[in-house]
Order: sequence, then structure tokens, then C-alpha cells
Amino acid sequence: MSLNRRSFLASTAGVTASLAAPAVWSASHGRPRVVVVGGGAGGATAARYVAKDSDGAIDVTLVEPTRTYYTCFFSNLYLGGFKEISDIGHSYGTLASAHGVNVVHDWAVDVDRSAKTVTLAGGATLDYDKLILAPGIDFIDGSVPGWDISAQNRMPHAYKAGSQTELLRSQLRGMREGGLFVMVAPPNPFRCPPGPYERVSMVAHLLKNSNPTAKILIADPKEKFSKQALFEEGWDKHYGGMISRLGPDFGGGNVSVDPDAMTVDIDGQVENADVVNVIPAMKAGRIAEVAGVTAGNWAPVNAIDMSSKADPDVHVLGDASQQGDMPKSGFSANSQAKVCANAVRGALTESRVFPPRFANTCWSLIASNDGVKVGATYEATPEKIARVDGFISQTGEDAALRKATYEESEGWYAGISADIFG
Amino acid sequence: MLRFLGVFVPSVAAVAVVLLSAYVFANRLVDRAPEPAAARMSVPMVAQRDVAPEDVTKGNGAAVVAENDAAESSSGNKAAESPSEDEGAVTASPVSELVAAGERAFRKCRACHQIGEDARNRAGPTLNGVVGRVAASVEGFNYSKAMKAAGKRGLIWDEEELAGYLAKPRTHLKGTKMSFAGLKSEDEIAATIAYLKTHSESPVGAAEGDAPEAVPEVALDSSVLDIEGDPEYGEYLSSECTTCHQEDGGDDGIPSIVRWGEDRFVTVMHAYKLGVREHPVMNMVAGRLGNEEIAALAAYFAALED
Repeated sequence: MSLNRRSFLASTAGVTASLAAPAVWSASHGRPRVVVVGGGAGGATAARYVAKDSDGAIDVTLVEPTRTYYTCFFSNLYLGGFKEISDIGHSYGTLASAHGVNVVHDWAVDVDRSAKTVTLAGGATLDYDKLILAPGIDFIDGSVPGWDISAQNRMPHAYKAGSQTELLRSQLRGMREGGLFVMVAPPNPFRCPPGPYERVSMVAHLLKNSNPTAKILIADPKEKFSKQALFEEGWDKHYGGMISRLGPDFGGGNVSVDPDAMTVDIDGQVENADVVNVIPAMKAGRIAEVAGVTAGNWAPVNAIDMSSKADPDVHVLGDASQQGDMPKSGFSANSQAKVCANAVRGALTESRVFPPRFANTCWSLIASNDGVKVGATYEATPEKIARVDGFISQTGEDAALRKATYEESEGWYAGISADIFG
Repeated sequence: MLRFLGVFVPSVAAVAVVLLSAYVFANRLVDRAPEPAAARMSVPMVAQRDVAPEDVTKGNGAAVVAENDAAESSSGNKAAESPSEDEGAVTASPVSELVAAGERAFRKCRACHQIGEDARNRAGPTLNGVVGRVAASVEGFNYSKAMKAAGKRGLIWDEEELAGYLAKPRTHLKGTKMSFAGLKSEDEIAATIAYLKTHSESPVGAAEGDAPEAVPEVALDSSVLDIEGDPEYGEYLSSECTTCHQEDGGDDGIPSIVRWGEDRFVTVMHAYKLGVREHPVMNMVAGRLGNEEIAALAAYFAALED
């Protein structure tokens, strides 16, 4: 049963009336309601901050299908053997117990923006005064010819962390000696710009120890990628000769796969692969499109409060949003969520609303104790979230600094996990 | 030695609010009448006492104190380990000699203090990380009231404090329960601190590969320190900190920022803002905070202590 328990108790209406006409006891009765769809870095942070800071004045429901959320950030470290899968899994228990968030484990399948309701796969309907959509990404059908969701067991994407990540690691560990790992990298824009390249680093780290004659091939539709000089320097230093990358000049943008034959066709050249990681092109999580707040693949938002350009009562956070200059990252989503939560709370309870502030930092691990980072701060402009200034690790940094950077990323993971999940 | 650095860009929160409100109205062509959040966006309350405009143009009274220069002039031993902008100028051997001497001197401390990998609290607290940490911050150790009070007001065990304390513990910090007469010679004190530093990672310097030296600070004009921060605004701003720094004081890989005194917090943030302390993330974040925002954060984190 996915009824909103706290609203239900607050309501004077009886059980039967509530079930029969949930929309009747909406905005004008009881506490204002916020429904958050998606329990990742954006959604869970927003739910937590609205609930925590409003101290019970706002009824917050979080709709998230999974009971345990595996963070995409640090999932590459699991592939590399630096983390256990349990290290990156988080439950929603604290959001419910410490902050009073009504956590509903279900899929949101429809949004009626005129009635201000969200329909769940289980059949229940949730009313909202403000809706926060943080559905992350979905894949664009047909973006890698030959691959679709039915092929994801043979050629995992592992770009939504959890069972897919475990599958990819198991395939890598079982790879034949001297085998070939192929990554089909995604076109821009996509979740976690350094992610595919950190993954290659972690796969190389794993194979270097267990299968040192194995090879790694990246087929990449992009000319350039995030932290490129840092990764290429690190690959050369730690994994010399193991990793090759075919950019668009070498057909890296013209790729199809045959999951049954385990082949990858790169611009007419067919490679027999042992493990293939297909990371397709991405778009906003489907519910954003269903809600009618997307334009093209993503959901345009106002930088000041992450509200949808299509509807002031709908906010879109994180990877799904089209906000401007921030990369699609967990850090960005977390940052945006706090701005959004502050604005939503202000709109519903007259609490003070402060100027938006945005920041992002992405750490990547290249090898043991060889961490690098890139970061920037951003401001809201009328057009978009615009980059103000930033920094990036430098090539040739000494080992102590790289180790400290890695240790810093561990601290960050602990910090942001607590900030998201309580 | 004083150097005046940089000019703060005065915070323009109020202007930003007006602009932001204006563009929200301009951009949101909506078919119903929402109440744009920005319309009620409040300007953070700031009580900024005694700041004349000319002070602002002078850099808000912030001046960099190169503590190391002072240290050098008072003790010749510091020369070998003084940080240099040219890292190549720091040669390895004098430092390691100093550290070795410090390790020998530390035998006097070992009766009560453990240091190193498996160190545990004994009669005295463990000394891993002591250089640069807040007084009375080792978990599980029962400090004297005096030491707790020192921690509460933000005393940091930087080199200067340690030097004073190690020379005459009970004079330097009245009420301490450390029953040790003190180290006699300045050489021995300098060596001991050098040794302690090998078990301390300066939260900032070490991360940046700098020599793990006394933390250079800024001397702030009282007009900056006296700004009364708005804790509610600070709470909002603090959410930017808690993406990395744990609210419960956990400090694995990233230092804890809770339980600092307000003045200490403000000073350190200005040190990052001015680039006196170096860390790319902190320089970036602090660089975008105005004086009143730093004060607000300090007020919020100070209130957390209570």
C-alpha cells in the first residue's frame, strides 16, 4: 500500500473517503506536500533537506523502486577491487526514521500536472503541491546498433550501479587469459564525464594483477574527454600498452555490436571480444518525458531554483535536468537539490529563501593511491547555471599529492553519503 | 612582517537578489500565478560594525602574517624546515636530522603519550595528528577542564602554541593536568615538533604536497571578526560544506569542521579565500564567500557546539 501515511493520519477524512477520492484532500487540507521521484543523489538529498529543514511542516514522499541504492560514484572502485558492493549500498531507513520522509518503494509511471498527481505502478496516486523529479538517466534506444536492454546481460552497461556492476566485475574476473575487453563509450552529454575513463583505469588495475596479457579497447565517439591528459598519463604510467582508444577519427563513433557473437564492429573492423561494456547514449529518466517537462532528451530548468521551464510546480534535478554548465554528477545533483529544497520550502512555508549556490568536484582513481580531481563553482544566470571558476589536477603531480587526493575522495564519499541518505 | 594581499570583492547579495528576482519574472511565462521563490528571497541579515568604506578597499583589514618568518627570527633551527615557495630549496637531510633528534627527545613524552600506528590513549592522549589540530579533540580522552575550554575557544596546536606549551606546560596553559616540567632547550622543542609533524598531516598543506609546516594564517581586522553572522543563513550555506565534511565530525580523508571556535573558523576561511592556505577546492569555495557569509557559517557551526 503506497498511500501517504503521514498525510493520511493528518487528514480528518476517513479511510474510505481517502481511498475513493485522494485528490479531494490535497493542497487545501493539512500540510503542504512534496513528492520526490527518484532516490539518488538529487532526489534523496532534496527529500532529506525539505523534511529536515521544515521540521515536519511539509509532508515529503520519496518514490524510489529500489530498497538498497547503489551509488554510481565509487562503483568503478568496486570494479577495480577497492570496494565491496556493500560499501556503495545505502538504505532509506534513516530518511524515514530520522527525518520522517515517507519512502515509497514503487515506480512512478505517470504525472498529471493539471491535477497535480503522480501515479505509481502499484496503482496508488500521490497528490503534490510541489513535485521534484530526479529520475537520473535512461538509455536512448538504438544508439548502439545491435544492443538493447535484452542484451544487457551479455554486454552490460553497468551505468546504473548494482546488479549490472556486479555482473561486469564477474565477467572481467572470468575473462580468458589474454582476452579483450571493449568499452563502447557514450556521446556527450552523459552521466559522470570522467566515469568511463575511470572505469577503464579500474578494469586495467584489476586485469593487470589477474590477467596481465589482457587488452582494453575503447571505441569513443568523442574527440576529447574529461581529465584526458591525466588519464592518458596514468594509463601510460601504470598500464603501459594495455589500453587503446579509437576516437572518432578512427571510427570510434561508428560502432555496432552483436551480443550473440560477442563481436564489436568499429567502422567495419570486427573485433572478437571477451567482455563488452556498452554505455549507450543517454536521456533524462523516462518519467520526465512522461511528465511533459522535457525538450529533446533532457528537462530544461531555471537555474535559480531548478524549476522546470514547463511548470513552476515541477522541479527537475541532477542528470535529467538541462541546466547549463554543470556536469551530470552525483555532486552536482546533491548541490542542485539543496538549492531546490530551499526554494520549495520557501514557497510552501514562507521560510527564508537564500541565493542559489552551486558547486561540483569529481574525483577519479587511476590506480592505487593515484587520485585526481576536477571541480568548479557555478552561479545562476537568467539563461543557465553558468561556470564561475574551477580547478583540475595537474599532470606530473607527485605521489604524495595523488595519494592525498585519493584519501580526500574517500572522505568525500563518507560526507556525501551522509548528506544524501542521513 | 605584514603584507597586504588582495581586495575582497564586496558581497553583493542584495543586488543579486534584485537581479535574480527580475529574471525569474522575465523568464517564467507561466499560465498561472505562482509565487516565485525569488520574490521572497531574503537578504541575509548582516550586522557589520565599524567597517568604513576605505577599510573595505584595503582588503577588509585582512593581512597576511608570515608566521614562519617570525619563527625563523626567533629560532635559528627553524631555517632548515621553513617552507619555501621554491620547494626545491628544502633539502632533505637537515629535516631528517631534526626529526631524528626529535624522536630521541620524544622519549621523555613516551611515559604518557603514544604515537604511531597503534597508538592509544594512556595517561595522555595519542599524539597522532597533534600538529594543527584543535586542543582537546582526541576522542575518548578525559581532558582537564582547562584544556577543554581551550579547545572550545579554538586553540590550535600549531607550532607556536606547541613550542610555548612544551617549554612550560603549566604556565602556558593553566590548569592542564599534564605534569611535565617542560623541555629545556629551544633546539629540543623544535626537534620534538618536527618529529610530531611526521605523525601529523596538515589537513591542507599535506594534501597539496607542501612542506608540512606551521599553518600560515591571516590576521583579520576586528571589523571582520566582529561581523555577527546570521546562523539561519549559515545553516543554508553549510549545506555546501556537508557535501564533503561530515556533520558528525568524521574526518577520514577530509578534515572535520565542527567544534571550531568562531574566530578560528573565520580566520581559516579567510586564509583560504586569500590563498594563504592552499587547497583547490577550499580556495574555490571560500573565494566565493563574502565576509558576512563566512561569519554566517561560523555562527552556524558555533551554534552546533551547544
